Amino acid sequence: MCKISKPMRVFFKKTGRAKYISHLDLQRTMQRALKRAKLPVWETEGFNPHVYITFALPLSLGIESVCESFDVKIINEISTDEIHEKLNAVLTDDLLIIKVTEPVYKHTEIKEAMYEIVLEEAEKFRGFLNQNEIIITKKTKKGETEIDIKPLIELKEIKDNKITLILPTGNEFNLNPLQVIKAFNAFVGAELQADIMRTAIFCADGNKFI
Amino acid sequence: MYSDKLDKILPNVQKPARYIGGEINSVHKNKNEINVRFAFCFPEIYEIGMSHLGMKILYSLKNNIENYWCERVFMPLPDMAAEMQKSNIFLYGLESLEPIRDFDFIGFTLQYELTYTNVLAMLDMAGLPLLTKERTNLYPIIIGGGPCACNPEPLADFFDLFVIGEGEEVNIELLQIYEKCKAEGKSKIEFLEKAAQIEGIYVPALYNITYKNDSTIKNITPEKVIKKRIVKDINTAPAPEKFIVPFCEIVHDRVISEILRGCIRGCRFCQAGFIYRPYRERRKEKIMENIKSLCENTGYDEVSLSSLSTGDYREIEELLTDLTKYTDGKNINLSLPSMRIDSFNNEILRKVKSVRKSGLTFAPEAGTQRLRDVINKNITEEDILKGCKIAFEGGYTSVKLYFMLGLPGETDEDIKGIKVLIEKIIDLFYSTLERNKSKPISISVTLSTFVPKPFTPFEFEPQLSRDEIIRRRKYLLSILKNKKVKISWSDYNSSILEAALARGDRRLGQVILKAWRSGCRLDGWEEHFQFQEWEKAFLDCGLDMAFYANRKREYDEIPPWAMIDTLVSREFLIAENKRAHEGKTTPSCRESCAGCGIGGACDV
Repeated sequence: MCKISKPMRVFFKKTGRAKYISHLDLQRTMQRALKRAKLPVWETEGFNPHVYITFALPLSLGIESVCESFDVKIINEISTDEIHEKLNAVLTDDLLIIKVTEPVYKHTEIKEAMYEIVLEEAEKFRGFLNQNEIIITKKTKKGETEIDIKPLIELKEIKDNKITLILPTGNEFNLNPLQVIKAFNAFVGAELQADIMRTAIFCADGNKFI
Repeated sequence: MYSDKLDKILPNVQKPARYIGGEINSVHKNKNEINVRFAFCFPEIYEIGMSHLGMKILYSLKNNIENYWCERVFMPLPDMAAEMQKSNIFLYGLESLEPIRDFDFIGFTLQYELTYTNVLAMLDMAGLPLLTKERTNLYPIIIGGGPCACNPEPLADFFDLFVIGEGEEVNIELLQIYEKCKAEGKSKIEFLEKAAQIEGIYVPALYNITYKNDSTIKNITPEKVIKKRIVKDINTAPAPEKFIVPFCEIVHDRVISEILRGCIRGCRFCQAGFIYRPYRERRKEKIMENIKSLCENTGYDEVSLSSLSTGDYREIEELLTDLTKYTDGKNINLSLPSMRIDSFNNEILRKVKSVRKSGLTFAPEAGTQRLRDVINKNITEEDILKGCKIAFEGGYTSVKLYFMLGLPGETDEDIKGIKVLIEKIIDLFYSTLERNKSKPISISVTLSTFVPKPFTPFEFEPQLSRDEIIRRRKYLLSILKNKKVKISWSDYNSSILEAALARGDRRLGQVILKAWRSGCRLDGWEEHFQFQEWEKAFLDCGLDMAFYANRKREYDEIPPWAMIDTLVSREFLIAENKRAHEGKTTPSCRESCAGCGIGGACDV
């Protein structure tokens, strides 16, 4: 029988080639990594037992990140350092653990995320934001709706070709940076390729998600 | 390195993870320290190719040598192919993301005749001339191997050489000779002449074929025969300790361990049963060691045993006992494909079931005892019903059955036999008292069309004409109307093409080229298969598909593959063909040696 049941939050980066792993595939990849690392993690019982993990936030295919995380239940005493070390021994350079902590916030407290977007003509982004409104069509469960995303975009900085933005994210409302770039491309009348990286996730109280 | 260019196109394609490599356990080396670079090409999509055990074996074998680097390449789907062409990206290796046209070897595994246009498509996407005579540089050397290489003739124009038989040893010998030739600045021809000295290497350009007026083969020169290679000892032959763990889901996403090679049964239609002889088993301890290391290195939750007939493994119950002892505690599911119905018993069922229930599949192949004797299936109706009863008592409510239509000597009575047999299975289910009563029985029947293959006793047999195939299928469907039975079938046009290519000569090279030029590729996929283009290609080349597929071949005709020796004698195949026509069975190798010619190398 298990001695303890303690949740652990595993932060990882998903960069380079790993940005093409879909959310569902990532889940399987991490479950297998936990098995390879022989960590004492809780598995579901019943017909089809499997390692139980939950991700904080999905990440769109093609976007890199240095602040992804999943939660897993530990059923035996093990240090966060040991989890960190053992997982990295069975992962690739593009998919590495950054830190392991005991969770502080709930997933539902996530409110915003910061993105760094590298693309040509980044200097035109201010002009883009100076429009009266920026209307996009957003697919929802009920169908397509038109919304004005201008008030949702918080521009932190434009430096050389790099734009730093904060966008709403989480369960309630989510603005995908790919949609912002799509609207920006329509504004400049080009098909610019953007390298996007999620760099931080924030909670409703303004603190970083940990 | 294409990573920047790929970043621009990958967002536009379906499932980009299959085009980017970098998976767990993939091998990355510093190319400056490499003397021989090898592109292992599987001419099908990633999900299929990555499921193949042979590729995993040869990949790890070559990469275990420090200064050799083997990478993987698969067939891109049309969306990716179009994006690559638009962005000037040549076909690349998944490890380095560099174009394979600069590699030393490009090796194709030939598992299925309907992947031949994929081979041409991949060579073209690599930016290479398709014909061996148009490639004059030492490298890349284009090589082929795998089961279809036992008749490599339809691909003779495109390949520099073929590896005949088991690749583990000969691949390394070949790479070593190449390494030396490259260092000494030798030409391609000098290398090919040296390579042709290795046992098991066939260089088609060194052979000349002449034809008679009736289009059959008159003469093959030189007379030198290429003997297939067999690894010395299956227990010491290297088995990979790691599998690459793909990011996206593949067809067989699991640990696969080979437990035996060859087959003792001798079903007369089955090419694998003859070309993979002699029969050899791996030791139980070796298998367990292999499975444990693979599970630990992959994190997979499913293990499958690979063989042509798992139940023939002499210590199968002991092996399953050891295996379930290991897998039970780890929530690992065990799957046993290739179980003969007559080797199926309660003990085995209990072990498969102890973790998770996967479906049961049996292959009676023919509906009557008479026809099962003709094909030497050596399974009785009693065996079939007994196997089903065990399954039903074990709680199974669904069974999958494989049948073949168009087997030599098949009559409408035999087709009716399929219906009668299925009805008996249904009756058996409802008369089994200890069955699972919560569900009705469901039987799925998969019908395929018989394809005569080289190096089998049926290599002399004609395939049925298309009209007759259609009539027999219609007949079966008209009599087999039962809500409990779900029937699916393979496209007969693809079976006709398969039959023509399988027993084709090297004149078919121009047909394949033409078909590819008119857009044929991914022929194994129903949605991409363009049979009309193939018919046109045959016509344009002045060749007749029926000559290859539907003609009875005489025992004294020289087959296109006469320069290949799979160590099973032609006399034996002829004798077996005669026995088939007499309706006589031949016992399994374990019961008595039938004298196939393989000699004392087998361990039955």
